Amino acid sequence: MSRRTALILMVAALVVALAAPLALRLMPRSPQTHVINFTAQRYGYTPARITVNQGDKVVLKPTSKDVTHGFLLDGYDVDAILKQQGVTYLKYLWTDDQGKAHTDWDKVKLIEFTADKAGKFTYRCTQTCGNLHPFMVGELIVQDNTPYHFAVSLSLWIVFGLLLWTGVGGWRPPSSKRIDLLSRFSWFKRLVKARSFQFWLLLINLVIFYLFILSALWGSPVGNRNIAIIFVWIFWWTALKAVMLPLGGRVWCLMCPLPAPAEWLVRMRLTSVRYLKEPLRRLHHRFLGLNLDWPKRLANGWLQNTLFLVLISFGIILITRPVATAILFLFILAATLVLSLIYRGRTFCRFLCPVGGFLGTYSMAACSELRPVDTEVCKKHRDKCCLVGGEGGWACPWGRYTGGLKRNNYCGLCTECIKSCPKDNVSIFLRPFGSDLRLKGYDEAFNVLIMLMVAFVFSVTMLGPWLWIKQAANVTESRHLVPFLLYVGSVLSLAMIVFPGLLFGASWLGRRWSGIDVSFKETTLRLTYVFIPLGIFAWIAFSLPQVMINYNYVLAVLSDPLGLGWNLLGTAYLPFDPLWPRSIPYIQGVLLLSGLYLGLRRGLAALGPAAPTPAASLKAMLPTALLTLLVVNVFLRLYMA
Amino acid sequence: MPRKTLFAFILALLLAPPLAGGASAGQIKGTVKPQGLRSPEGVLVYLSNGPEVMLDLSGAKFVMDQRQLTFIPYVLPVPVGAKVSFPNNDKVAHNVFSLSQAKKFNLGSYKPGQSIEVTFDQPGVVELRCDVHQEMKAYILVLKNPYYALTDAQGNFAIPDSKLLAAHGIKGVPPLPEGKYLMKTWHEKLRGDRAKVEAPATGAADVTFRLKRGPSGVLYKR
Repeated sequence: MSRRTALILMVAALVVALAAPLALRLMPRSPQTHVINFTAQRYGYTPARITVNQGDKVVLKPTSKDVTHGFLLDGYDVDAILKQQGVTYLKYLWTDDQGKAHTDWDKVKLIEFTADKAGKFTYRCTQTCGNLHPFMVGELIVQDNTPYHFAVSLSLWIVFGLLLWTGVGGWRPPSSKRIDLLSRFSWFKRLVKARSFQFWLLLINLVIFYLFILSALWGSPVGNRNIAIIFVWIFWWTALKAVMLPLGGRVWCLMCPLPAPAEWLVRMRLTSVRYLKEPLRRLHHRFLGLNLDWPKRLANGWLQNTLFLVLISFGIILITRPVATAILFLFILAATLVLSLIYRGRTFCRFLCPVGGFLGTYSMAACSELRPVDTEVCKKHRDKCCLVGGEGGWACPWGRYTGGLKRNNYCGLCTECIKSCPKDNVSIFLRPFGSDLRLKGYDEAFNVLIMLMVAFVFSVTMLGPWLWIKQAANVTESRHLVPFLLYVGSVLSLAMIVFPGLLFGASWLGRRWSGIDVSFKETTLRLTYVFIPLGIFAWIAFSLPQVMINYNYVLAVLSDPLGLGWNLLGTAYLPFDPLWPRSIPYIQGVLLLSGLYLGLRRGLAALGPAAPTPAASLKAMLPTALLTLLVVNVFLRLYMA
Repeated sequence: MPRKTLFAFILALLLAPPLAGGASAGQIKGTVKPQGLRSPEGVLVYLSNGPEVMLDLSGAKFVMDQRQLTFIPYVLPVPVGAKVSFPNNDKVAHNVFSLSQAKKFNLGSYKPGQSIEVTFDQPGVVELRCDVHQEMKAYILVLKNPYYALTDAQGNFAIPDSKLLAAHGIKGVPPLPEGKYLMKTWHEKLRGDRAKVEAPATGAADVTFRLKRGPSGVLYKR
């Protein structure tokens, strides 16, 4: 098949993909009235999902089983307060003679509206009703859900088009263009060359961190009223996933305050370098403590993967209880201190930090990198100051030889090598998304798979409407151990057995079918790369709506950071008012489709030299592409239908 | 024409107006168009200087029910002298009280299944509250004469309000005599309005009220 034919086929398929959802709308339907007994309780609604056809009338008979709850329906301007025994207040708007709008509440028995807009609409609790209040939601599906049908047919089209284009060998080899930021912006170079650069970033964040800990321990125990919860788990998490990671890779590690006190302590310096002329077991520094090296057997990502899964099991508790958050951070702080006194370098960050694990694998796709300007200069330079330390900078705390850096994974961007290199041969570069293509071991591959599955599990648990899943996960409040263990068991088996099993199967099939001449492990590692861009975009799709929905809580806690009833900025009592909630399913759909495209596209590049011909590359990728399509459609169904 | 047929014809002509229902002698009907309400239902319209007639309240039954932490109805208009019962049909105890001038009382806490009666012998607005549940509220409007009406879901009313009178079992309300009357409105969230109306001997006068949001006033000046 020629490329021309392939292009024509792709355009034809696009027309079909766009026409199919519209054709579905032609099915005739007659409007109905749905009378529904509607119950709110901590932390969900019954029914959790209401499915109607466009034009139908919905009549809810609302009541609350326990405390006062809210009911705010995205896109429909229905805002009610639900109390026990059916006492319901419905908000309405009216305009006075001057044209000024007023709101008022009316005591009602029924909530009635006509479902005249199609799509998915979430109803949310507006009254702080307990720990999991921010996740108390239900869903109204108004058929035909054309946006969702579009997303599904486009996902099919993307996979079809990509594979077709691969089959005809249409892709050009990936570009290796990069922009040297330090030589281009001299102010930036002066900034990162300054010895105190990292110190100030760390100090500022450490002060903020200290205040967060105070607030978490002594502030409001209500999660959405505590700055530690709101800032860390909603604001920081989203900023990390949606901004820092895709653009700056591990740039968070540059400014993470948790290991800072330990590092300052063992270096016995805040900004300057203590340089030893004679190296002590390779490094030109003597640190406070035992100066041991991390055991080789543990020098991989499995501890991080394990710790991450442990934290995730308690995820919903961790991110809704200020005290749990504080204990976690203080524990990490203590761990960094102890480990630093025993081992040299950032052993906690490198081998234990659960966040560090996925920052490592995901930073492979980041649009920036720290690399030598010219590797030849590094090869000829005998001292390797970046690795062992120089007069201008500390030895790499991450144990890296900058001259050999090919991937972002284990570079914490601390900028010491930029300062220690006497040849001025280290810089920070901008590069295309998804440039580091090779995963090196099963520990990294599993990290990628775990992250994707956790994005799925969190989406189900936190953003989904299912009361029983929230109750199972929220064990410290519901106090039922068996459902919790079942929940954790399913999460673990999904992340460690089911999904890896599916991928291994797809990899085995692809390898057999294409007959490519690389080992099974190598094939699997290369194919796993697909789930790095997809994972990043799935996490953005999970995180971004949190900020859009809860931004008023962010403003409120800024005004009252310690939960003491202050109102510094006048925003402490802002009502719950999501930002463009109607657009959230659309944004999530676009993000997931972008993730699908970029995942497969970069995955094909990762397969690259292993599959020498277009046909081999197509055959090797096909089973994994179908698995990816399945994953994306599971997410689409979760977010859009 | 046979005499019998003629007789039937005349009888039919005589009976037609009363049997035709609504448009009988002495009626005022109309519409209330309120500003800033979700629904125009439940606005009181009354004749402040209507004829004070002796009413037969022997079969009357006025009930302010308490169910699901709510008083039902929210607005209960009654004539002076009405005996209103306050049954507790809820699952929890209630304590109904009023601090209003027209009738001050406090029924104390009483259990589900119990009922207490209160007689309202002074005209005026009585705001009911429950000492246990601060969100519970209702109004009893005590009126000097039976010529009052509550608007329906479309904002329509008719005085006398035959449906309301029948529901409350008030008997012996004569048709509204021909004459000039002062009509007033009352709603918790609306500023009261008034209109001079001439009730015709037959048929009905038609009045439209456009009400604004504002503090509600008293029913009668003292």
